[in-house]
Amino acid sequence: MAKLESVIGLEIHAELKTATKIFCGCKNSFGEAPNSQICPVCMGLPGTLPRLNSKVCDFAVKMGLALNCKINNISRMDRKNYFYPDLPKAYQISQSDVPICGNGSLDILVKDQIRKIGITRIHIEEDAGKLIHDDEYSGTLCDFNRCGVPLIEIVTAPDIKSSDEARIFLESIRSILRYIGISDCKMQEGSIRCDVNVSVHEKGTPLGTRCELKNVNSFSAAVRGIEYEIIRQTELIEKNLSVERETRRWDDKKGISILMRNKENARDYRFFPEPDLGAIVISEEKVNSLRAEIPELPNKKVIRYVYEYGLNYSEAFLIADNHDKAELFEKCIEKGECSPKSAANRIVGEITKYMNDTGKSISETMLTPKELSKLCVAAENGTISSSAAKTVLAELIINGGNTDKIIEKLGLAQNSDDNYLCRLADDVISANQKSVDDFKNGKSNAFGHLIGQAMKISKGKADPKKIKDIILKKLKMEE
Amino acid sequence: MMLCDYTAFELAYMLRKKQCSAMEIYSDTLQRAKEMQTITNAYISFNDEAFKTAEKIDIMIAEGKDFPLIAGIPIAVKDNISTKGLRTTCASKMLCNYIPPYDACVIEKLKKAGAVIIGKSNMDEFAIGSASDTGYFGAVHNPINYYNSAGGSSGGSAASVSSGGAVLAIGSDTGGSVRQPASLCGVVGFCPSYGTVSRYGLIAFASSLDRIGSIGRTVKDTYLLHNIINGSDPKDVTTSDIFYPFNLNTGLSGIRIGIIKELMESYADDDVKSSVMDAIRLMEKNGSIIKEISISNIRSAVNAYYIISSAEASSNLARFDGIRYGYRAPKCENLSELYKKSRSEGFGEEVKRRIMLGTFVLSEGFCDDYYKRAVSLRSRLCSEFNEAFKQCDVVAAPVYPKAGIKLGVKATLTEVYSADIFTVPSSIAGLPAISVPCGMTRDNLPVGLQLIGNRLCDKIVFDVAYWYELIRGGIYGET
Amino acid sequence: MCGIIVLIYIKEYIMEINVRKIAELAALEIDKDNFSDFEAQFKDIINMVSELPEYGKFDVFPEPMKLREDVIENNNISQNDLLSNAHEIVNNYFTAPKTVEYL
Repeated sequence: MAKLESVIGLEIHAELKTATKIFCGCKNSFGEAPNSQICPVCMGLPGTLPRLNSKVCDFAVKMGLALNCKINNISRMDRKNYFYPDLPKAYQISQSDVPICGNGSLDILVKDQIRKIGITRIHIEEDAGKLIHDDEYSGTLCDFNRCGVPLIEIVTAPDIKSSDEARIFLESIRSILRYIGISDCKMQEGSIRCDVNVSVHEKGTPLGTRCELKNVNSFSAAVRGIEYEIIRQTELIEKNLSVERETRRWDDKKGISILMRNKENARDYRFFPEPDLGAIVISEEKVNSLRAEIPELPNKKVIRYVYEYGLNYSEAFLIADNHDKAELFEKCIEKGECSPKSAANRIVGEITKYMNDTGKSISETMLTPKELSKLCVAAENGTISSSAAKTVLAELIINGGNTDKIIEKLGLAQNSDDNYLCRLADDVISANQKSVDDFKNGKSNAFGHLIGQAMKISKGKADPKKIKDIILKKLKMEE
Repeated sequence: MMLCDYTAFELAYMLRKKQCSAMEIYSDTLQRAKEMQTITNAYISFNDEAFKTAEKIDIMIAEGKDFPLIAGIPIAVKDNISTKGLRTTCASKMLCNYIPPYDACVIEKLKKAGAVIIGKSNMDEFAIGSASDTGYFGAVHNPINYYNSAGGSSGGSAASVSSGGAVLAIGSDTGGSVRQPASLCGVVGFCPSYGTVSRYGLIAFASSLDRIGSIGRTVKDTYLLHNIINGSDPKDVTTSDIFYPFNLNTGLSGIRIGIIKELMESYADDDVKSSVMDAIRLMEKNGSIIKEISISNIRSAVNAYYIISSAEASSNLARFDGIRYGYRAPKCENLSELYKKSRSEGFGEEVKRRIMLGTFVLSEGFCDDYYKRAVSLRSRLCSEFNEAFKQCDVVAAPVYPKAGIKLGVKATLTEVYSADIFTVPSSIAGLPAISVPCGMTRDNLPVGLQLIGNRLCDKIVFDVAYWYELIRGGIYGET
Repeated sequence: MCGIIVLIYIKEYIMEINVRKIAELAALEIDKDNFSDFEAQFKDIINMVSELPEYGKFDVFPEPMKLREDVIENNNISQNDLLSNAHEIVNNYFTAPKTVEYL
């Protein structure tokens, strides 16, 4: 049997970080005391009516522009009807027929290949409340603070071909959401969620039946879920059984998916246009002004960093993912003085460590792109050793200042002068004949001793790499 | 004659002339309301705080301050309009103990203008019905003939104004529910253009059809009330403003009155038909031009109305599950039981029927043939009406095929639904319409003349009604 | 202008309407004793409303609406009032029977 290809589509829900909820003026914030952030509208009291928050539309359009989507100048809201205790009106106001954004795409870098993933649509909708199961109470506790929090739903075309691609795609979406400032994507707060659709088929044949996985609570869970589904469906097909159209629940602890709903008890949402709301009109001027607010996006940066600057994917992603780091990196290498690799190493290394340890952002440190560039240059041309560079960097981060002055003040300039180093090597060799003999007799640590002596005499200023090479050459020549 | 038998304008005059006090008006009206209660059952609850408003008005009068015309006038409010701190039941077991924590927009306006809200009037359950006989608190009897219904669904509002238990009343009109009871009780009932009175706080039956209408004994009184409650409301985005000049026009000879051929061919009792024709001839005698118009699809309006209103009702009533408010069935073991039992025990038969119908017409496999066709027909009717109004200024028609609905007599549902033929077309098209008393049957039952205007042409409807009332003169005298 | 409008009635449709399934969707229980009467009446109503002409475009857009600014609004209603109509409140939570673990 021919090898089966997997076909994956994703539905990503992200909470938007507007000040207020989508249909009422309640504060949009996480972690408040139960039912303290509600009003008659979001708790579904009879007689109440929704009012759409303009910022939600702006944010959705921005995401659409970031994903190269067609922006629908006229769209409308629809009701999605079903019963569940976290849904106070027993319908969710969402968008069915005419979403705010249509077709688009996102380029991601997968194993050095640029893959274009199609976006089918982006629409806006309201979030439901939270159901809590408490040990002391035998039923379900309902908290409606989250009811009415604005969501965008991003639906991809079934273009994703592996779990790895899915992970990269999800990380890119998250990057973009943060970059354009519309969501903070804290998975642990539930502000970004994902449903996964998986099917398998033989290449060249029609697409297989897809299954939907829900309750996928992290990107790594998405990877595990996809891999499990591929195996499950493949096994069915190999046994000549058919894959049924199902909605399944992913249990990450057990590593399995469980049937939730099949075709027979599939929900009938009875969509119809929301009669309490009018049409959403977005003018071309509005679209253009929102477009102007979008910076170069992280996924594009990643591709650029890898192809133009020779960074590897993970370095590129780490830098591009954070707007501050990307800015620092780009400004630093702007003049072409220091090498991108060198700047990247330091950003990904010490600077990120400092940020993680102290919780500070780059703008809260004293480091400037100009000084970082100078530091990289000094390390590259041997003016200072790499360990000295670490010291200088720490100083620049905490206290700022001028790289050259710091090197001078701390006396860190190392000596890379060939003549000086040759004389030093000669001195060390003649003063340590025993070590030389030991080395010639096969004792390799004797070599280390010679280097140590050279560093001691030069008070640590000798360029360690160069002195090593020179001493070694001289020892070999003596033979 | 007690104070409650005067018109609002007469009472406003008397207050200013200090011929009576607001407390006296309130006290007479309350007394009449309570006397009539055992006969008509027009009220579900009385407002124990109403006297405070009357007192305040009297203080203002004593201090020589200005006050709005409607201040001190007792008003009945249909019990599906939210009143803060005052039970709002929709005549349903589902909400029999529900106390809204907020006032509807129209209530805020009435309170601000100093109107005295005397009580919450009885109705069909959730405004679903046309005889005020489906409610949990019993049927509303017609003050003119006890064995007849007061009409529905705003039967209590019409009966209270008719019997002196209120001077003015507000009701809701979805398919005729203000006009029909007004006609059956011999008072004036106005149903405004959709979107000119805020629905915020009106417990929804059919969101795209519901309006809040005014009931009074004269056209001028009704206009007064409508002017207080109309206006766009930021809390209801489906509202917009129309400008209403203060005075009603009477120089209307030359006005073109349309008669819809297909409506005149629909069944109505002889008495009803002849009263309406007499009214039309009277207007013709006084200079108006009668034109016959054809709206070919108008008879399908009933079908479209029942489909659309039931669909929206099925969604609007889905929020009643006993979790946040309303009736909760005792001893439910699981969620499914909670929903089914609370709803089945809390709702009456007619409400359940409409929810079922609405669920059906939106369900998968049937939505295209029912809901979508109905909506499409609605668009078509709107255009046909628009065309018709190029040939005439208002349309005249009966309000209801009968002048009396005997309580307790079982008619088939299809008969009952089909009887809405005269009121439903203007509801579907969002047009303003008024019912003005125009005659009596042999059994001394009142008959109403319906005048329908083009979209947002509410003022013309009032003008023609006012003019008609003047030329009719007679039983319902005018100040 | 005079158009010939062909009305296609759906009455010819012979369809199985599953009343039980609709009741499930609507979260309603039809009393077993009255079930067949209810079903008959229900089908009557459906028959009545079935007379509808074919539809043209469904893309019905409402009037454009005014959007709300993203500014917090204080509604001046206490939490107590908002929760006061509930059947049962536990630690400021609303309550329901235990839900099955699905979304």
